Amino acid sequence: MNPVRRNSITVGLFLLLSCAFSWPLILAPFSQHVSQQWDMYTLVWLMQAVSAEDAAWVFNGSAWPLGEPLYRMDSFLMASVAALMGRALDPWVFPALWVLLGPVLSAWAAERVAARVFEARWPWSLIAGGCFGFCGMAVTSLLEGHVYALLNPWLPLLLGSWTLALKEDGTLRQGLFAGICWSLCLLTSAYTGMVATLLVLVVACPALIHRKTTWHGLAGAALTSLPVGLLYIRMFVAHGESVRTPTTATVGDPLRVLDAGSIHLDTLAGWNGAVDMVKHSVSGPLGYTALSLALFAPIVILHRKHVKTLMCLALLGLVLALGPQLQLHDDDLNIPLLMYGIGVLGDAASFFHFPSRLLWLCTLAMGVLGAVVATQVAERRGGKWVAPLLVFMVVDVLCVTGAPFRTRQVSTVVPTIYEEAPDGLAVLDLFPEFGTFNADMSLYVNNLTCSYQVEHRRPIASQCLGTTVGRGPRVLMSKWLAGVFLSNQGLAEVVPLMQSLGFGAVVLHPDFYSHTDRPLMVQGLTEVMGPPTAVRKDGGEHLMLFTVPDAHASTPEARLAGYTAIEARVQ
Amino acid sequence: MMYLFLSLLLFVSDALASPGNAGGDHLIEFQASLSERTSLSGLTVEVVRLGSTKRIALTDDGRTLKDVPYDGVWVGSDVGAYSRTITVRLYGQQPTGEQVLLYSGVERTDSDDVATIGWRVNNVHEQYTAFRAPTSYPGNVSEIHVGLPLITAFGWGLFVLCYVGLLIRSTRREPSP
Repeated sequence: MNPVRRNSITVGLFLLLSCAFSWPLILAPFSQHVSQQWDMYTLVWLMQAVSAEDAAWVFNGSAWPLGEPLYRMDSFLMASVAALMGRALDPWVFPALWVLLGPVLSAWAAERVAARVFEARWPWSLIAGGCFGFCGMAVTSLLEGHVYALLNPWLPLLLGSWTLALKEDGTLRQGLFAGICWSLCLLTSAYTGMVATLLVLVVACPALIHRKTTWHGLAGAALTSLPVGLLYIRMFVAHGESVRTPTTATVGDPLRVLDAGSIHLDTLAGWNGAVDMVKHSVSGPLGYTALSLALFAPIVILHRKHVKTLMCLALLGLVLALGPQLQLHDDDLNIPLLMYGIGVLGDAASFFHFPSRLLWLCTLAMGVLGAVVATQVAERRGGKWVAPLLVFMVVDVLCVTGAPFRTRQVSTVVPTIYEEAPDGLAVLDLFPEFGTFNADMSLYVNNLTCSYQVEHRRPIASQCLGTTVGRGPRVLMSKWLAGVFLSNQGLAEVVPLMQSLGFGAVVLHPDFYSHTDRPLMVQGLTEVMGPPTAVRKDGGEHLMLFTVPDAHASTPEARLAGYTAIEARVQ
Repeated sequence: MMYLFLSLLLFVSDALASPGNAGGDHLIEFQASLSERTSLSGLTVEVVRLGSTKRIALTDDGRTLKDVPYDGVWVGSDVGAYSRTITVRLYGQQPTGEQVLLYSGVERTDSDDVATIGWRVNNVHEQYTAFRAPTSYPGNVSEIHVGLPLITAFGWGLFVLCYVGLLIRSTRREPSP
């Protein structure tokens, strides 16, 4: 078939699949999102932060008055695109494009690599694309809101180019391209970078052991990947804490923390409602079509080149994604696995919370294997009997992962009350902490206030990057003001301190307070700032805006002094 | 078996028929599944939604759409302006008439179409408590409903494995061209 026609059909099919996969996003891509969890909100906030006029490595518009370092942002790649184009586009455009087009490009890259490097034939190579681009982990990324992981053609391209670069006739150009792909994986997200590093090591091992490679490919890859890798590590080490702040009830037990972010056997097989309700949508159903084909690879195609390497990649990705201990459903089997050693490291493992994300490696290798096996079977038995496997693959993508059944339609509308706050001055969102066992709600409401900034553009006290339960200036200010209003002591210093910090308004979220605390908070704020300037019930929230009397812009020194004073009062 | 079939039917129709509701009335559904050991004679939900407090009586007599009468799953609903969260308290009425608080919390209801809050009410040593559970109609078969996609996936996986296995077996019998 004509390559242009074949590629058009491939992209068209994957586009259709993507629309169904993320249904109903296509109906209103820029005014709703379909995530279950809450990380989409901070991602949109990040798009806005990096494209702001005063964008810098420390963003002054959040965690006011301290500002928020962006050195450890989730995806440098997505942020770079937003920084280049963000001023002309609504920040909600980026995640929508990533969700709709990301899986298409990822799947297309996997399909092409399966066809060109591993000799799968079209249309059986589509199995590789479907298995990788629309895998269970893609659904998890979609529902969690980490949609930057969906645009990942770099991983299959790395597999292809690195395999070619390590051959006896590998060239410098192939090595350079492999290095670029590895760098793009790292810049997509840290976990994608880890997956890419594992892939590089596994593919390189046989070539290096048997000394069948030349230095050209290796040198090329080193040239393009080392500078990016070293810069990334330097940035991570030089900025921020060396231990991640714990956020869950499993604090102090690294194995349980790792277990919670791992794939369990039940979530590997399919999904269930409880996964979305209490397990952050972490599930990674493997496509049964590619899995079944890959299981027969040792019988059908073991003699072919690279098959053993692909099998090793799939197995390694799977075992690592299962986490430190093999679990059936929750905390039941406790059979130690490879990752067990990392759990023993304790705090050193604190940044590695989600082994499940290494499953991307397994789905890529398994998809390619499946495509190659299907090609072999079609050549021997005829395409008529293999064709149903393409339909099976679509059933896997839509039904086994459950993507269109699990998405929600969530409006991106922002409450209009923020527009009533004084321009240029900071806004404090006031709501209580929800306690250890409702940390998810704390994160959700915090992240929601971050996303509101996309519309109102005023500085906010909420800390938006990372998981920030019980941390940041908003939490400190909330504790201080709740202490003042509930005890009815220290009312006189509220307004002067708010003025020195540069806050122009307080937005109270009264419904989150208990029915006994709610009137006390409203009464306290009314006493020190006067009656609410506005009370609104639009944008899905009941909010009350209190304007700080005689609010004005303050100097950085005054802000720091005011903040230190509040810290002293809270402690 | 009939419950299983009904569950599958409602699950698919719910998932596909969600109409979208941006700007319109926002429906919040409540479902509480009572275990057989409970002797509660009524359930009420107190909702704080956009600053207004309402009490909604849950019923199990088939009056509400999708409710299977007397199956142990009590249902109720509230319609109002779009609300991202609600504060909710679930009360149970004992045969003596006394109200007991079963659950209290803040819940997300930000889905534009229909937001559903589900509980399972248990009686442990005469202490009634409710915990949040994925939604559970029809029938008192919440576990089956929750596990339905997983059970279906297992069946599907087995079918695909058999098909591929037979296909490969047939290729090994025939010499390659």
